[in-house]
Amino acid sequence: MKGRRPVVRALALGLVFAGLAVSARGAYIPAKAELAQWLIGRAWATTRSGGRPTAPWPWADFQTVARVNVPRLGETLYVLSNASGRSLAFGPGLVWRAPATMIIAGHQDTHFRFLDRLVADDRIHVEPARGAATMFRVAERRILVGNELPLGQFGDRDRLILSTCWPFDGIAGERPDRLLIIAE
Amino acid sequence: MSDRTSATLHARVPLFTIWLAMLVGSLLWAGGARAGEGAAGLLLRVDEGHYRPAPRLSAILTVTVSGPVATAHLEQRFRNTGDQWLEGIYLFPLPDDAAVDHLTMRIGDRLIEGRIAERQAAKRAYEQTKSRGNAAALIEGERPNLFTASVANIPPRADITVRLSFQTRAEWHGDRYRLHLPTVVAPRYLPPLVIAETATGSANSSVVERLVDGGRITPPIRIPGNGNPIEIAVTIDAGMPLRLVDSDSHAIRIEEMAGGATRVRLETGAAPADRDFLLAWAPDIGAAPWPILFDEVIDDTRYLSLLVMPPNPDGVGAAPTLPRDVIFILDRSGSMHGESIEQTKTALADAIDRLDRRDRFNIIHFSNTTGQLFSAPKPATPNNRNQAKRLLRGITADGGTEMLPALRRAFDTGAAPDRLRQIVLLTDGAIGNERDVLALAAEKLGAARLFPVAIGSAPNTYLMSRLARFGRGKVTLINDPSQTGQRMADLFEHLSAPAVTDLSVTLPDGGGEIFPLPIADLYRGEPLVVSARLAATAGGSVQIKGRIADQEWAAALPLQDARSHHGIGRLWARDKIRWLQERAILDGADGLKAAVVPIALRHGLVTRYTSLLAVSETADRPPEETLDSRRIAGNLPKGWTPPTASGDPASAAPQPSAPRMHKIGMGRSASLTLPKTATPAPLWIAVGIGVVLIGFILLMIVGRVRPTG
Repeated sequence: MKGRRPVVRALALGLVFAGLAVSARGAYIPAKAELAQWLIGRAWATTRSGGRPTAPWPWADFQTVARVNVPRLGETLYVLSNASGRSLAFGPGLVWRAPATMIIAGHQDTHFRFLDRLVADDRIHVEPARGAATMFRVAERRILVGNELPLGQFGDRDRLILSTCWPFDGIAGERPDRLLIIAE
Repeated sequence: MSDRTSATLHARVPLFTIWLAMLVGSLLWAGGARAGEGAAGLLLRVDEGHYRPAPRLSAILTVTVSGPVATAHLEQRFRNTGDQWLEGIYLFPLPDDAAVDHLTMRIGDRLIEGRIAERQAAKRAYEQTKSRGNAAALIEGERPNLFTASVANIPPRADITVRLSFQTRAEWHGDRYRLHLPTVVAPRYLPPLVIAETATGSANSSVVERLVDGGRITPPIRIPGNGNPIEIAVTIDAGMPLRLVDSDSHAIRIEEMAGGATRVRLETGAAPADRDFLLAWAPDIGAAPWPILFDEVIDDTRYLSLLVMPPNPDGVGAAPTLPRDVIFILDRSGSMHGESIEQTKTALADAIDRLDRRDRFNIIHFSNTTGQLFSAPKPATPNNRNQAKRLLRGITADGGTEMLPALRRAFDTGAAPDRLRQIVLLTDGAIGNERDVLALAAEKLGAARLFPVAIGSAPNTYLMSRLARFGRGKVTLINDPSQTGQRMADLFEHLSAPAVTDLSVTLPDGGGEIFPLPIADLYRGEPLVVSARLAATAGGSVQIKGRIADQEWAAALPLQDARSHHGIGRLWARDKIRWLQERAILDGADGLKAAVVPIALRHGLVTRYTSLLAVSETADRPPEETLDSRRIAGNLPKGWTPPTASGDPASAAPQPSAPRMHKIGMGRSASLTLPKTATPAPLWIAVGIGVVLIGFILLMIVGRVRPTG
């Protein structure tokens, strides 16, 4: 018994450190998401103040296309030009912009966590890289079963659709559905 | 023993509580409890609120082909089946090089001629006429190949017919002419990166404006997609018997007409406008139609359209070809990650195997850094090929897309005068500094030919096609990464057989304007197609010069041999406007409108800046009646999966297993896959905390046990 104790102890310490490492890896994702938005915000400010489009960091593989602001929740986010897995780690990405519809997707557990807190009539400002901002109002909240959004069903009106994975409650596993916030 | 157990239990109970509390905490962190009461029952639905029928549309397309020139009349009949006065808006496609030049509107027995006007003015006049209650028709250009017809004040249970005319060219492929008449607009995928296009547009363009424009060119879709019938009749006036008449798209009926013409109609009379009409025909063997020279004299100007087939060296075995320097530029940025890069690497290795021993090659690869295989192009020896393949195996996709340094390297390597230099650029074009890239290409490319290969579902075709034009090459679009191998094999096969290079065309008066500019090389089986303008008084011949392998090739076409043909002037004007639009990317768009509008007005062409307008002078709609505006739905292109009205798999109709979108190759699915947006962060944190706690528990057990044991 006595001889096994240091082994158990070492094993226990190992578990503690392994656990810390895994948690750190998990914590790194939201930290990266926050830091990236901050850096992108800096680059955005340069671009908006008349400078050339600036990359937030030299190896960034996207452009910043818009700033989205929700005054009621105090959320400000920079939208990236694509919604690849790599880009989404840094910010919500533009998925589609037709018919008269702009669709933005973001991670449900970082940038787009606030989607669940949006209610009807919340204002959303979209400020594009050039030109004047447009204000949208949240009109509807829909759950899309599956991840295939049928097009051609939207009318001619300008719309903004924010998309994130649904449901919000799991910590693991598949989230096959999508929460859509539709603003007009 | 029992002591120890109880000690452990004592220790475990509070620890378990803490652990559980922390787990719950992390669950809450992950986004809180499921909100929304029964929200999951809400599905996307079709807006069924206030349904009123849109006008019914039927169309008749009549085409007369003479040599390569096709003159077409498209008649669209907007029928109002309801009791309301209606406005119908319909988006329709025409061939890429269609020169739309004439409009008439028929309402009842009145026939009203259209006129060309600047877009804004035409729109205003249309709106005023519409609100006065008079019938009006407006044709606007959205893209070179997309147009909108708006027809206002269609009386209840009556119809308005608009008839518009356009010119286009049949293309010569191998041994036959091909005519491609689109009838349906594919739902477009507008890649977000096209936003960069606005960098060269007006200063106040914005994402939102592009969005509005995106709305204009994305029609509502009709499900099931079998409406909008179109009748098609094509008369081929070859002046000689035809060896072959065939359509890959529709069943056709062929009739011989008096005078040697051939008429083609749809077997079924009319067909739903859900796929492009493809027609191919070939003259009798031995009656090769070369050269073809058409002209049209308008006032003091002569317009020319010519088609010349260079001598075909096929009879004497393999044609002697020029040795080549082939530079492959490979995009290995993060956006190429996955199947794109893997397929591209394989295709590239094949391409290197395909090189002739006399050819030299090099590979330049870039992300946010640039690297290259050799410092200068090296002969395609087995050893060098192996070295290339080793390099390719080691390449992974990561990082940003800095295309400029890679292009600079490719352009700067000195050109050998006795070799044809081909640069193959393999990329998804996900870059923002298009203008710099194009400017560099225009300035530095020199004698090199540039062949962009656009990979992925949302390639920047705008950039790619312009690069190809500047570089006298061709663009290859690969939507579906699994096709990469085949499409690139086709391209490299094509590249290995340049037939005529360094082409130039000289007009008798020495000046004139010739398009396309610059003239691209011809590859095996391709004719030279050129349009030109010169003074009507000039006589003599059009001189053509080029190089076949290391031989000079020249041809002269006497102007007096030209056949007079209506519409040649408009084809020239269309080519010139296209050239102006391409130049605008370098010179800035400021002068573009001012340059395009006079040409378009003079030749009566619909462009982005000019529209055709027909207005009735008589008031049709009584002021007390209201007008309803309806967009007319287009069919979904044949072979595409219709979007399911609900996401419920049980209620969804069985889907044809036909590949979506990729089949047609210009767009994407009519449904959009929303990306995965959950990170493993909460899982990792929870698991991490759990493991830490288990470690602590173990430590405590060991610690507690020691004094008693």
